Amino acid sequence: MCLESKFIIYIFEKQKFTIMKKQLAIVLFSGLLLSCGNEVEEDVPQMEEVVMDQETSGRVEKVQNVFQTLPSPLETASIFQHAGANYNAELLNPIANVDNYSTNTQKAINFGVYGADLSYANIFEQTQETMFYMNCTKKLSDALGVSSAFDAATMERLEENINNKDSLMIIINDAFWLADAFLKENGQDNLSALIVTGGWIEGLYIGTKTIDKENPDEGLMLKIADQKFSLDNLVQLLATYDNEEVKQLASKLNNLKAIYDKISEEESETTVEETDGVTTIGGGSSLSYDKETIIEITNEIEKIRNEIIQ
Amino acid sequence: MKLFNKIALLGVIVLLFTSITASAQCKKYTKKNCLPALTPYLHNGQLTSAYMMPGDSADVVMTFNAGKEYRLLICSQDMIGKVQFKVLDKKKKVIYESDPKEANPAWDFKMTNTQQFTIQIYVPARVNAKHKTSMMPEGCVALLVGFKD
Repeated sequence: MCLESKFIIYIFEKQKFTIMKKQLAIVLFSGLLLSCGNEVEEDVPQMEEVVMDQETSGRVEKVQNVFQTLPSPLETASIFQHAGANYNAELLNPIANVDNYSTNTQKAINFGVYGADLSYANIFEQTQETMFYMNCTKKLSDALGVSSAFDAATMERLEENINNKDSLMIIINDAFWLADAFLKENGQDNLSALIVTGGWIEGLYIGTKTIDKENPDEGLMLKIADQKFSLDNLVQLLATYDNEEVKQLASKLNNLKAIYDKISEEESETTVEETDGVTTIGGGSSLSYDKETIIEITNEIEKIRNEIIQ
Repeated sequence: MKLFNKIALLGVIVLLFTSITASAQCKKYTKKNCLPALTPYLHNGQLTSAYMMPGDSADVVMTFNAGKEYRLLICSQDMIGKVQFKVLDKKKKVIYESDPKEANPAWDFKMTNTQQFTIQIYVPARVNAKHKTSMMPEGCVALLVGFKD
């Protein structure tokens, strides 16, 4: 039996608790036992089993929320690059804006936004802009108290690899992983969700801005339509937070979702083929949409993005 | 009364500390033992690991984009056994199931179209479940997704 449990038993013996106090203490004692490790080998009483069931259900829900993820801004940037999007520095959030963000909500969202800009500049091998956006992300990371993500060693590695796009991708991803992990382990999951959302919004904004509204490219339109699935994941992720700032952002995304819902889905049989050791998944969902819906999405995401970077 | 409040406060602090320590250990485990197994795929920059117990399961919906190659990896601590996963399409058809004999199973695949899949993660229940107690082992489980072009 661990030290904390012995301490509580000692206190039980010394003090006369009221019934209510005892009940509270039992809950506390059970919690401490849980944290002590695998030592008891007895059948559990009925009441404890009920408590365990509730705990299990709560834990599983928490686990499912933790596992909810989105494609990284890097992946989104890569998707649009392969669909024919070109680099345009004017689309990025101006670096001067970095000093405008005073609340943690603004900092977190724009940490995600600048992270997406950084990925975009890097993927198109824009060395100078990559440097600028590295500094912006570092500044906001420090401001959020996550200085370990873009610490001196990481900044040095980034500078050393500034001309190596692939190495930079890995370092940037690792830094964002550290920031995400730090926030989650310190109970600031809501900020983590805001970062992911900021990155996703910026990624889609950049992708949509490269489209020619008069004569949109079919490939680009499909990539924009495909983001319907990620938006679904994102809306589900944000719905797990009972936080005012997250709810406000979720409300903006629900307006976007209402437009995305105009895109219809048709399911066909998913195919799994093995060729030369590579498994290829085909079939599945196919999307139907018109040009007007894509333009509507383009306008809505621009509106949302311009609101969040202010 | 004051003594009781102090004890309650002490308990809350111990629980909070235990929770943060456990979370930090899971992060450390994921970074050291799981992330390297994604190479040469790039992870998505998000910590997706949590503590699970034998008998636990979780369903996660994820999007996989057209033209990308992915590695889906489950990585877990030994004490909870071999954690497995299944991949289901939107019609709930199982398109992949990991080998129950394999520890830390991974699946590499390429997407032709963008699709949403449900990933079902399950920690096998203990055979001697009759003697299952509140002291079940708990282990860190990481669900990692890496992509490449």
